[in-house]
Amino acid sequence: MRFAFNLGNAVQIFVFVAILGPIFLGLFQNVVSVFGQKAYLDIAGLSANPLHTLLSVPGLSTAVLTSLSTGILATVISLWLALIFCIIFLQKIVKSGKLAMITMLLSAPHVAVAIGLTFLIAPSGWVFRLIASISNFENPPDIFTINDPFGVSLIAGLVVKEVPFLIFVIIASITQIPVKSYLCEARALGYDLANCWIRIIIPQIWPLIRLPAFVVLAYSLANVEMAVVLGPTNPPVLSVLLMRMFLSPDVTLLAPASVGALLQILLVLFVFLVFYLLEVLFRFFGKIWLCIGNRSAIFGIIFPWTVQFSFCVMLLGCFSLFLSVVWSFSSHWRWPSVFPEALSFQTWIKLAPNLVLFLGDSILIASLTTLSAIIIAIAWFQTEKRDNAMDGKLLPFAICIPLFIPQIGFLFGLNSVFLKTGLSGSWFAVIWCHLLYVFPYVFIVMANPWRSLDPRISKSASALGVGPLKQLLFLKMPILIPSILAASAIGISVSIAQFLPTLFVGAGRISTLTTEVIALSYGSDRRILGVVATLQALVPWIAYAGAFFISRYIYNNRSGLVGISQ
Amino acid sequence: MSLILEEITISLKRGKKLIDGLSLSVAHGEIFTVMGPSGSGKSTLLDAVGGNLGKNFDLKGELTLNEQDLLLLPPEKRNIGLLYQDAILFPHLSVGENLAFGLKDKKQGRAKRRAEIDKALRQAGLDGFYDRDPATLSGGQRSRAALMRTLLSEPAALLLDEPFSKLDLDMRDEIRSFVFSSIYERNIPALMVTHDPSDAVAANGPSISIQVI
Repeated sequence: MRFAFNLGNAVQIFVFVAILGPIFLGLFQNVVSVFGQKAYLDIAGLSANPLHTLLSVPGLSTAVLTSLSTGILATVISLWLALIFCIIFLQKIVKSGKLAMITMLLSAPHVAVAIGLTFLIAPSGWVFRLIASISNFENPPDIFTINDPFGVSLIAGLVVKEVPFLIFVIIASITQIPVKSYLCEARALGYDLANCWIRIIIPQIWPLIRLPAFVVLAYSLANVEMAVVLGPTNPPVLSVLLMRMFLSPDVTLLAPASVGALLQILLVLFVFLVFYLLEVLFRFFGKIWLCIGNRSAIFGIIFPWTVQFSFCVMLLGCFSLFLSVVWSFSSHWRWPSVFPEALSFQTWIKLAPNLVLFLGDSILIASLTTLSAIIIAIAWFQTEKRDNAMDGKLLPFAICIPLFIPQIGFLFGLNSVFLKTGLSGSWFAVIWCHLLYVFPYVFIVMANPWRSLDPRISKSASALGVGPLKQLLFLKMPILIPSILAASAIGISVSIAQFLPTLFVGAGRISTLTTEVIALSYGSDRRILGVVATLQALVPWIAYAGAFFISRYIYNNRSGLVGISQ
Repeated sequence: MSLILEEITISLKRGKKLIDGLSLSVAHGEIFTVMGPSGSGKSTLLDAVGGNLGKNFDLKGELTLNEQDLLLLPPEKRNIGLLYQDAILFPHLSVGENLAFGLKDKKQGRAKRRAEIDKALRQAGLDGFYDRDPATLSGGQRSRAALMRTLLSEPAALLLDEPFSKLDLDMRDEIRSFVFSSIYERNIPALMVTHDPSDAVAANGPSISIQVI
């Protein structure tokens, strides 16, 4: 047998069991509970086919349709806006203010952005206050501007949050190909900039951004936390409908909800397939179109218009976050005042004792999760042998699988397994579930710097008689500290934003800022909501800023160290 | 006279001059050689003519091609072809599709366009290469394919940036005479920068040397 046992294989097997095991268990439990509960109900004489029960849930087809439409539209719009932004980004020097905007939105949890948006666009929100103050209507308009039945506000929220992420991904991919010389070459052949991008650059960067784009797609199709705050309410999107069924006191809804969870996964896989087929079609017809030699300037007209739009989207997002801050400090802010009538710390002070608890638990979970992710990643990079294709492409992809599987699809099943083993509601279980989402990002951020570390450093250390552990502690880790810092910041922001893992696996015994924000979002005092949302957005932002300033401090007199590239 | 540079001065924004008051004119079917060591601003000069000068440069002077003022035109409107030392073929397209990308859309119809491209491939000694992946071509084959793609876009002038310096010695002469004879044949002005004196000799046209300022 060629498969020899060694440390590297042991680490990899551990990672797969730790990351993919829970998903497999959760899915398996879903299937078991569908059949198991059916058998149980049969005996009790309450026979009902879970599938039939699910199909008879009012509004199911609407829920599926709005899930599909919001998810697909949000992804397509985000991709388009992010691409256009990057095209202009390369042409003009972008002011640092815009970069700060991107980072702020990138680090902010989805929920915080969603809450901010409700402050902005709700019928009694800031936009309508502004309109009311310059026109003369007295009451907030009686229209759906959030929770609208078509999910427009949900799409807006998703776009605001996903555009910065995609911009970040696209900029990273653009640096991998010689964009500038391709542009010179294609422009010399008579194509304007917009045409060059569409015909030459985008087809080349798409393979590099396909996976992150599918992560966005999976998230948009099946997320719970944004859909709860901004999405339609009756019926909601499928993921929220399933969450309600899972949490319902009526236990006969559990089996249908488990069927629904599998349906949600199939739905995402189906859309993946459709997108893949579309890509094949685009490739085929795109080539024919490229070979026609058409040089029309239509895109050159659309692009500058779109880029303004994507600036507006990001401005909107940042302003929403700012509104949360303002609400948290306002003591009186009645309709239709555009500015709060009085500012004070009173909400913060009143909430402080509770906040400290949630904040402490959130930070504890986030740090422990991130720390374990970093340790596991370092163990992986230390032991991996990169002589086969598996290590290069397939394994990193396997690690990212949690990002493609809807959380609602397996987490409740997983918690059932945890209940049986007594793990449910434990810190260990919650941290483990957060790890599924933190580890892929930590791994991706650390992979490049660790793998491309000059091997001569290690060789010369060995020649000086320094052993592998000492090399790791005193050479590699100090040299690669920027990548560790960047991974910490991203790990913390991902963990802070988790909702369903904490809700389901924490079994109500563990609360974080995120579970608290969502609990409060069902119509509570805006000042309280503002405080919690601000805090939730602040923690990741501090982590990002900290990583940035610490590594800049380290670089100050070490010019040979390579910075956090983005 | 067709490609005319008059008192061209290029300097870095709030910085030093790279080219100071350069004037030259290139006639149809003529290859004008600009010689100079690295750092003398040769490539910057070509960027200025082609319209690819970075925003951190200042450009003064006059630049016309067939009596048309070029300075305010974007690169795609200048109708000037480029040939770099790294012949750049777009990696997501086959060799033939690369040429089709260059071919003007005046030529309509699939069959007609395909025939035009096959003819160009034949001229370049790349017969039957339509479906080949550009990554599998040798350096010389890539140069010839890039030249044909540029020529199919019917440029009114050509810029050559050390076009032969990366080629193996034994094929340099062959590619060079292929490129030059294509230029003579189309009777367009060409501006070449190089640091290889044998390029200037082979071009058999006027030449100047520029120095690091």
